[in-house]
Amino acid sequence: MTAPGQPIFIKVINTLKRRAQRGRGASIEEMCAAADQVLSDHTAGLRTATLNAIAASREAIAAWKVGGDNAILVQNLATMALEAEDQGNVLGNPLLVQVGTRLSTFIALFSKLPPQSAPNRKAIIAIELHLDAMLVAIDKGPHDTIEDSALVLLGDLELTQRTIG
Amino acid sequence: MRPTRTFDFSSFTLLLFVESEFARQLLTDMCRSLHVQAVISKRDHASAWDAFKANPVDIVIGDIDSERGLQFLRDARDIEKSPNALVPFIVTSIKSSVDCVASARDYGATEFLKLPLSAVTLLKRIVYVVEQPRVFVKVNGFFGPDRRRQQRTFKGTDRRQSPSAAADSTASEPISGAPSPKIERVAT
Repeated sequence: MTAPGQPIFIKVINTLKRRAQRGRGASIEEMCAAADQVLSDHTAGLRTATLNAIAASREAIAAWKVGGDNAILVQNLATMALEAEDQGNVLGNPLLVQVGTRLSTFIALFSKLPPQSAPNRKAIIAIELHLDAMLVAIDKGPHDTIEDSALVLLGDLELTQRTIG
Repeated sequence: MRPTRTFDFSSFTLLLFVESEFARQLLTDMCRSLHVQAVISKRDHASAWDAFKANPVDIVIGDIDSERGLQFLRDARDIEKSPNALVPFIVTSIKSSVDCVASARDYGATEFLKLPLSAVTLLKRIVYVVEQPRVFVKVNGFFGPDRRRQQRTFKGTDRRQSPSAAADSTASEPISGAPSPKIERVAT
């Protein structure tokens, strides 16, 4: 009997190790190279996907300018901002994460507008600035820290948001 | 020269519970590139739990940045309802603060994989759970891998007191190491 409060240790019999050594398998180096290749492919694919998303957003902005439903634009941009944050976190692009976060905050203001509200020129400029900043972030590729020039860019986005918001 | 180590993960069944579509797809592809044949990837708790119950899952990789991710880890370690409470559970998170790592550990995570993803760290975590299975411990409402990765001999006077030792104040002899625990052996 085990006394109350006394820990019970459970030694797990390792079947994984045995199974991992059963077949011919692949070397650590081969597997690492293969996984690295997958990561590179996804990073390259991200650039194309983001460019497409930005193009779609610009189309939604154009439609909004001529009286389109702003709910569609909000939906489009909110999704893109969220994806940018996600992708930046997974691939190591803190600038993309920051731009995505700022765009999310800015878009939250738009969601409060009535669906057919008149387009605001300043707001459109601000959104386009965020889209341009996203392009800069994508072009930088994976990085560890946000450098000074990028900090200036983020500061400008912050200022634009405060001015318009 | 150290010989190159080889691994065959083809017989493994790996369950991914990651809410972000991008991260889920990337992890799925990376695991397949490691020759894991059965990669089950799920984005919500209910379907991940169903898959966990229906399949002989060897390793779980779960994102704990959301409350649902933590809940899945908690459920997986729940002896009452989990089909495999001893499963190696690698958690992923964008946060690496002490609090975040500590909460993952307290919920029973086996390994912690900090995002951004890299091939080396993912492979290291998988190899680690394969080669170094952790002893599990059940104590005071906690069930999960033993937090101590190394067993070291304690030097000095053991001043910890169990209820019985507290009653017997004559137990003042130096004690090396912890009292002998009950050890069970379980195959997964």
